[in-house]
Amino acid sequence: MDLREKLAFSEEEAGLFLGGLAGDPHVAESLLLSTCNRTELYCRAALNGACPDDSATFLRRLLLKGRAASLNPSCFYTYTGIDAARRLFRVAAGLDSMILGESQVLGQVKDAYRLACRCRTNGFLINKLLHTAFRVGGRARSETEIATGAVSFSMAAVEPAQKIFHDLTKKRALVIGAGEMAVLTAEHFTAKRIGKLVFTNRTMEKAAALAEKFGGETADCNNLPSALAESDIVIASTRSPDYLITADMVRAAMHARRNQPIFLVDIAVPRNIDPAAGNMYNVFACNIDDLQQIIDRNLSRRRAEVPKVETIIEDEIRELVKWYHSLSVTPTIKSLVRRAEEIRAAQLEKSIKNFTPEQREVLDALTKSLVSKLIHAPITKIRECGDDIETMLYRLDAVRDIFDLKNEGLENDGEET
Amino acid sequence: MTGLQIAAIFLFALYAGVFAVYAILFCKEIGLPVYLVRIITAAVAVFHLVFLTVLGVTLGHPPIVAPGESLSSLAILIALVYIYVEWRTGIRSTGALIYFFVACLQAVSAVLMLGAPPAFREIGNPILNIHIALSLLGSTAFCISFLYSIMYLILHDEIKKSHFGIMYEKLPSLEQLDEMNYYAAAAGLAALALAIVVGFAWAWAVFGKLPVTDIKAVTMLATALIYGVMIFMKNRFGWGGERIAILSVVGFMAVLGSLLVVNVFTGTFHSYF
Repeated sequence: MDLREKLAFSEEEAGLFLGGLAGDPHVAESLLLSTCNRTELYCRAALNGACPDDSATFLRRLLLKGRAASLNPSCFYTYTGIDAARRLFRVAAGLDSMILGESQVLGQVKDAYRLACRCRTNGFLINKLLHTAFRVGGRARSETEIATGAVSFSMAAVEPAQKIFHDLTKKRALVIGAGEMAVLTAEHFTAKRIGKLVFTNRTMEKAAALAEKFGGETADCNNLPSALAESDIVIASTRSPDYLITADMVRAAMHARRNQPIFLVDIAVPRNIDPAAGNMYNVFACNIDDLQQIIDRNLSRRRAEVPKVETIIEDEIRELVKWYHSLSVTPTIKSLVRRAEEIRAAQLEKSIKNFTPEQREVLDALTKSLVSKLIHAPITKIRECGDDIETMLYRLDAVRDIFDLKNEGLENDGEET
Repeated sequence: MTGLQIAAIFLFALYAGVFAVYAILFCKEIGLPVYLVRIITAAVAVFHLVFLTVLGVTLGHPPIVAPGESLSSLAILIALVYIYVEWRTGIRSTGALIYFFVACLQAVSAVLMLGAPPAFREIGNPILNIHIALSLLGSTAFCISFLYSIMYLILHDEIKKSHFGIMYEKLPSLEQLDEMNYYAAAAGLAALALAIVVGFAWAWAVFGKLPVTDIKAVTMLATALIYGVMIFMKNRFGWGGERIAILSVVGFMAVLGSLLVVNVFTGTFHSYF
């Protein structure tokens, strides 16, 4: 945690940091992703800017600029090339999150990209990389179950409620307590469109504030039996050392509500609801241990989805690699055509004086045709590779080497990721 | 063995196959396309309807008279109701249990059809046919109510014991199951009540007395009483859920008793014919 705190960037700090990088001759593009669980710097280095040291040291030095420089290098990790892309995709898909598959990180990646765009540190590679990362994140969540099921106590409380009641919009939930857990649970029930939220608390001002926030009502905490009878769902989350809801209270409430089902969620330690209430007819009760079971089951299901997400990542990596190498196919072909034409023109120029104008025309056409035929085969060989990235790379290298096309005509000449 | 008897056994195999498809869908959630499942269930239902039509033509009366025919008709009615419900709700998680039961009914039907058909004097009487059709309709509704009750009790047990297994994951909510159970039972009771009235009226007209000593009539009255109590308690005292589900199971046991046990042990449909 100490380490993460030292390297955490607020949005403002991240903006300033990227602004500083925009003027760095060694960095062509950059993006900073700083969340509660990670701080990651993605860079495309400009080689012609002559990076002063190896990429790991360079990146570490950049990241630590203006911060505590005493951090151990072993606390950092560095990925280059396709591994860096894979890393970003894993983060976007939630595979690297503390809670596997959580969705918040994708929003944070989007925020980081927006900031890079605002600071103008994005470029063709960051743009492509991030849009692919968004797609990976989206696909992982829509094509697999990596993000399904509740994985927090507050969220897990909603799941059994949906298994008991068909339509939560017609149900009334009573929230006892005004702490963080109560608020989070209320948020999750609101997200599921609960019909009415009623808040009660020893300090009524807090209950009133929550009622206002969630558009709900308040109930007098001294009149719990009455509030209980009117509620379909009860969420208890206070620090009370005793049972706030006794079995007798539930019995009376069930009688008053003509035995209509009621769901009691006890997310307090020590418990706020007498467990004996759960044995009554049409009373369903859950406590922290029960909710933990739901969380464990959902996490285990998510873990089983990891290979599917990794397959999606590898699919997208393949596409990204193909796209990246396609950037050099066209320039290479253009260079080859240009080089052949230069040689042809130079050789023709040397002997052109020995021919009549008519002969020159014939000779010009003949040499053009000859050169065209000679370079047709290598061009075709490059183009016919299709999805076979390795062969394409091999042939591109071979052509550039044989025809001495090194660093000619490449749009991104002198730069690498 | 006749062609119809072989077809009855083949139908059982088909329903067993459909059950297997739904069981796989339930457990594994493999990517079987919805249209493929619909084609399979529709094809089996069509085959069953053709089978019952041929059976009716061969017998010279609707296939709802002998126990074997009745059970097969009951099976197709349940399957058709389920196809409709699945089409309307999109819920496929209950299909495995429904088709398991349909396959069982067809299996018993196939076994009963292997024996010699009982002779009924009153076949062809239109009032009696209405009585039989209403009884069958009521039995179908009770059967569906029973299946939803079983699902309710399983899910209820899992939630009560905080044992969140596959049923918890796949089945619809308790409230939905409770509602489906109640409406199916109410529809079944209405059909059964009409069947009893029509049957008693026919018996009065033919025999000049009510069949109060007929074991079949008595079990049907007991069945109506159980479902009547269930609906009364639901409306008067707010009963629902577990208690209603248990009553539905008890009621269906009475239905099965009147459909199978009485017929098998007495050898006739009613004591007077």
